[in-house]
Amino acid sequence: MRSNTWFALLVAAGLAAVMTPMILLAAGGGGGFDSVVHGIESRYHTHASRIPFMGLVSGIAGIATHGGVRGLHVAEIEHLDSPVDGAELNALVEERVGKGWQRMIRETSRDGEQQSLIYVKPDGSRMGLLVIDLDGREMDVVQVSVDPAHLDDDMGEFRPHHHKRAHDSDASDTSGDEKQDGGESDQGTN
Amino acid sequence: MVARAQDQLPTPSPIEKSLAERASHVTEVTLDKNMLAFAAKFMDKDKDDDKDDDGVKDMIRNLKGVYVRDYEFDKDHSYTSEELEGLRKYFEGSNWSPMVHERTKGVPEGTDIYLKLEDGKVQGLFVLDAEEKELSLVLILGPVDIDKISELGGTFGIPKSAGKAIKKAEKEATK
Repeated sequence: MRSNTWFALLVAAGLAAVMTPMILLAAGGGGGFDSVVHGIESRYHTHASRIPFMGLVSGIAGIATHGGVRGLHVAEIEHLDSPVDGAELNALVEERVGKGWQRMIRETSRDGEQQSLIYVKPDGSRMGLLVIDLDGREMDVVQVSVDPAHLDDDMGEFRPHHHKRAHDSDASDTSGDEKQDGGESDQGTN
Repeated sequence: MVARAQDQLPTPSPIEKSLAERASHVTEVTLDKNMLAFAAKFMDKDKDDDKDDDGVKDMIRNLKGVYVRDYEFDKDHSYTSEELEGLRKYFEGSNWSPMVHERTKGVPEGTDIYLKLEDGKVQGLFVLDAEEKELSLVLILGPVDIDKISELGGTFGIPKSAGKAIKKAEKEATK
């Protein structure tokens, strides 16, 4: 009986550890994901689709990445009525995102078809990432909390072997190419 | 760029806003000290014992900020010499020293590299790279290892062309 109580307490503590960053990030002191999505819905007279069971998916992601990824929120806005003005979207997000969030990247095309905004919010050893991506008449808003320490541990397992070989052989040309490839990939991500 | 203090990231100038309006594609990257420290955390976990990488990580960890603006245009030379001059003015009358001035005759194309020197140490780097259809500004604030800085080309939104320009500066510095 007593061990059952302890088990229940442990499960509750585990759930709290997984869910707290999600709740805190989503609330974001009046900003963050919910505020931005509501702002977009209101301005563009649209309704964002939330992915069902995202809380569960987020919890599983947290466990699978050993805490590397938590607090996953995704909203999808389809069939926007009119083209989105990049400056207006930027101003809207800036106004709604709330305290502590800083814009790291903005990528915009003049025709307004493509807009990407990436905000970050340092939170101790973790970092909140908020991505707003517009492609034509579709917009995605994603928020996630990442812990670089745990995330990179997991990513390390999937590093391609040739990357390690290039370093091992200390072939300067090859390693230079590796770095360039990595850099291009980074920029592409940006 | 509108200067705040010389060791703080600038706010966009009217010239940059005007360029952004004309550009077909604009990329803006602003990384302050906190974000760079976070980026270095990702690199900290790299299991490869590469001393060169360690040097780059240390440099990133100590940087105060990275400010990148990249404008792509549909038409050739959609910017003027006056606009380039206006962007360079940010670095006049301060402890920034021009290091590379490369010009193409008859067109406003060219590359400028400025270094911020304090007590003989490089504490900042600015690259203005103007090509036919692309204009890039890269400002890196903080202690810069001139031998390693070109490795940042292609990361943090820094265009590879700017990385190449920085390599030129490296060569100049070692002369």
